[in-house]
Amino acid sequence: MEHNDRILIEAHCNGSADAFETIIRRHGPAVYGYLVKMVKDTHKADDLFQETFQKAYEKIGDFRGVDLKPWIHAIAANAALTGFRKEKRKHMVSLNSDTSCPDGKHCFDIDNVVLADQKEPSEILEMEEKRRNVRQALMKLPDQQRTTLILSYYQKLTYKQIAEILNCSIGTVKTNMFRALKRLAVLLPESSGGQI
Amino acid sequence: MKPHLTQDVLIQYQFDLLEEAQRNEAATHLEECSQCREALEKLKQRFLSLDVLDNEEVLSDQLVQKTIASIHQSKEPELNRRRLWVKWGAIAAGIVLATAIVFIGQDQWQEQSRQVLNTTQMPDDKSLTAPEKDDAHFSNSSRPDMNSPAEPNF
Repeated sequence: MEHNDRILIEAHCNGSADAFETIIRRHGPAVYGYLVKMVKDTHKADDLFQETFQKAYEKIGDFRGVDLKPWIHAIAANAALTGFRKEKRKHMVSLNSDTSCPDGKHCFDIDNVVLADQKEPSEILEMEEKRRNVRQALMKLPDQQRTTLILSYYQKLTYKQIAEILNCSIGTVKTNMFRALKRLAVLLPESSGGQI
Repeated sequence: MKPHLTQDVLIQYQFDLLEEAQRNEAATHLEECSQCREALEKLKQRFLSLDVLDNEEVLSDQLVQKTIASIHQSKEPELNRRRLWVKWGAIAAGIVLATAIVFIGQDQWQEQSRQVLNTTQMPDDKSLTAPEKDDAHFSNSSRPDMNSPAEPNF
């Protein structure tokens, strides 16, 4: 995988038109998964996704490593966290807590995702309820804690990689992770475990 | 037996946040204490609920295409800028080249003219010596003596 990344980067730098599209298709799903969990609505996740790969396209010539996953996640994390900071400034100016989703239609519209395996309506509803609870619990975490938890738990990145992505020490990453988990231990529903 | 592990320690143990020594200590305690094992199991179950968000989000082909299109779109102004630079660079180079050709041509033309002039004025050795003779003649006989007063030659 990492070896292939290097080959793709070299092909892209040598003018291959398809190489970057292959990079998007390879790393896009993970990056999108991270962004959707980080932000409230899919429209914002879509915008951040485009911004992430736009920046990746501009900077990929400078990339000297072998594994693109942490590098692209760093760009995505930076875009998401910068977005939050801007949003907070807007909130402070407008004192309006609903500016991120003014029409109320796009927030959590991922709730409407149709499950791949067809289930009973009651099961689907129950699952949707669980998802909503978990998402709400995640959104209650401070940005740095949420991004640390998502990168570690869902994206399976090591604490060292997360420290590099967020440009901080491993100690800070572990502290943020612990605080996020401690808060989630209270926020998460007690018996809603289990895979879909 | 040592006191039971706190929830904080159990969280840190489960998510590999403990130092090695503390981790070994907790592992040893868990081997011996069924109550702590049970507490850890409950905690695991609670965090398992996070998995309901696994694979819920699907990256659509539409978004991939949109992203590629936006990249190409943003590339366009840069390409235009580059093309403009190339265009003006070519024009500047053309001007410099044309100027150089004009100057070199002018020099060559002057050189050629001089050569032609020389060949027409100095066809042989006699013609080269003749003016000297004339000059000598002039200096000896015809050149007026500046020191003596001019005398009209009747």
